[in-house]
Order: sequence, then structure tokens, then C-alpha cells
Amino acid sequence: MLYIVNKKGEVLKDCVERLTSHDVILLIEDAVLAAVKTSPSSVISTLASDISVYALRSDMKARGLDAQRCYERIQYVDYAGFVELVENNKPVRSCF
Amino acid sequence: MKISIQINASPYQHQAADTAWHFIQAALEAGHEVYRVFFYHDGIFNACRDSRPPGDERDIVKRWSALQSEKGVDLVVCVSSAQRRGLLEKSVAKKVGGYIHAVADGFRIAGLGLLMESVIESDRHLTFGA
Amino acid sequence: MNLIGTLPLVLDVKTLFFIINKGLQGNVCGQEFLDIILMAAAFDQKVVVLFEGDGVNALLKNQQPECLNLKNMMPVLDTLPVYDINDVIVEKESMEVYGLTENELAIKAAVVSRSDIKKRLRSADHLFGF
Repeated sequence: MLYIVNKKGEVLKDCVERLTSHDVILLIEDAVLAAVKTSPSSVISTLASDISVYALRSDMKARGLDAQRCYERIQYVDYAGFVELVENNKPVRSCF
Repeated sequence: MKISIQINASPYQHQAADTAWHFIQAALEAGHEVYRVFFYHDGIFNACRDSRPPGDERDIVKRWSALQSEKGVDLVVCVSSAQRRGLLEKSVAKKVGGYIHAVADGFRIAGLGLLMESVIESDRHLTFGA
Repeated sequence: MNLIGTLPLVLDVKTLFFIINKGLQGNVCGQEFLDIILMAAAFDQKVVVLFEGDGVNALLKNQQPECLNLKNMMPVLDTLPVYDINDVIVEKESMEVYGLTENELAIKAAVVSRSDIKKRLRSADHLFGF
């Protein structure tokens, strides 16, 4: 199952609490900030290793964020990759 | 695959309409079919004919109109969401005495039945919200 | 342009989950969301309504939105069985967060654990939120 999340805070937290094995989460819009290593650590760092975490590259770029500042587990997609994630996962839940 | 899109947020105030537009471009590029874009809640303001952003900014409404005229994507604005918020299609405006040119080119106004048809006919349904 | 559009005669039956994870008061989105649910039922789709997170509070008895001139959604929720929508579930963990028990809910709903809900979600065709 694919979760598309567009903001941090409660929305991301509610989503993360419901992720289970082999789920995929895609961070878009303001949620890409959750990919960045923070102190204390972001909720993303607590996820089990069998959950795939993606961030939308253009939303990172627009906000001046680069991969070096992010958790190593994050994978990056452009819009074509976004479309592929939607194609390869069902159902899709948009969290906003 | 066939993709159905629902947009729940007004343009400019939220990124939803931008994200949806970029997603649709990529989906069409990859050879997928975008069955319909359905504008709901404040998303109906994406069809606001009189939107006039400054010249150096993206024109979200025109961008949607072009998606319809150039790529043939069906753009549907929910009639009840639109009426509640004062965005009336010509025939409705005539009936209730509203401003007659509220809806931009390329959009049509219809009921929730068209959202449901889009959802049923599509392999994926994506909602973009605030 | 007509208001209804042209619908095909035969449509598939899909499993649609409608997830209410926030209150139904304060803005019109909750009300408009319920309209989609009723439309899905009118199209004979397999409809599941799920209350989770803060949304469990939408089922509290004795809501009085009329005091703010807001529409009371309870009559619509009461009507769900009339539309043959009987698959209404509430997430157990969210009930516990708010210390709610089944007899405090205004409508008949099945209390289901988060993990069992997830199993059901995986078999859905489309998920809706607002």
C-alpha cells in the first residue's frame, strides 16, 4: 500500500502509526522536511526497515534540501518515479 | 493504466493543484490515461475564469484549460461545491441570475456521478488536498 | 454541456473505503465528503466507512452544531443503512485514545483493531479522505 503524505506533524504521525511491512511512503510538498536528519530525530528514523521511504526530488530541490542532509534510507523520485510508485502499489492513500 | 484525479484545494493557497498538474504531465508522458480531473471542495477555484496572477507567475487556471485543449483531459467541476462557493456555469447562472462567465474555458460543471464514474472506470484514484 | 453527463450503462463494482479521520464540524468538507459516500452507494459500489484518529469523535452523541448555525451531520449518518451502507467501522485504538466505549457512539458501528483494518484496506480498490 502506498501512502502519499504532504505535511509533517499530526498528518505524518497518523500515517506512520498505521504503516506495516512492505508499505511504501512518499513524502511530497512540505512533508519532504521529514526526510532531513534532525535532533531529536524525525519520526521517519523510527520506521521498520521493510518500509520503503521516498521523497519527491523537485519538492526537495524547491526547498533547498539535498540528500546529504537526509536519512540514508530515503530514496528519491522525480515525477516519473511518482507515477511508477502509483502504478506499482495498490491501494493508494493520500494523507493531507 | 487509467488514472482518476480529484483536487480538493484552491490554487495558490496550497501546492495541491501544482503537484497534481506535474503528476498528470508525467503520467501522460509515460503513456497512461488520465480519465478525468474532478475539482471538489475549494478545488473548484481552479476553474475561476477571472483569476489574473501577475505576469511573471504561473497561471494555474490557464494551465488547466491548456491541459484540456491540448491533451483532451476531461476537467469537471462539482456543481454543488461550485454553487455553494459562487462559481456558476452558464446555464446555472442563467437560472439563478448569477455572473455568467465564472467558469474558465475547458472546464465543465457536473455532479458527483461523474466523480463516481471516474473512480469506477480507473485503476487508480488520487486525491490532492490542502 | 449538461449537468449529468453521459454514463455508461454497466459499471464495475469496486471496494471503496471512505476514511473519516477528522471532525465533521467547522467546515463544509465533512458534509461534502458524506455526499460522495452516498453517491458511491447510489452507484451500487461496495462501500466501507471507516472512522479513525480524531474522526472517532464525529460519532459522539449529543452534538449540537445548530448553536453555531452549522449543519448537524447525525441525520446523514443515521441514514447510511437506508442507502445499504452497513459496513461502518471504528478503529479500536483511536477509541481508546479518547477513552470511548461502543455504547457512547451515536450510530451502530463495528469496533475493529488497527491491524485488522489494515488487512481490509489492502484489498480495497480506492481510498477516500478529506
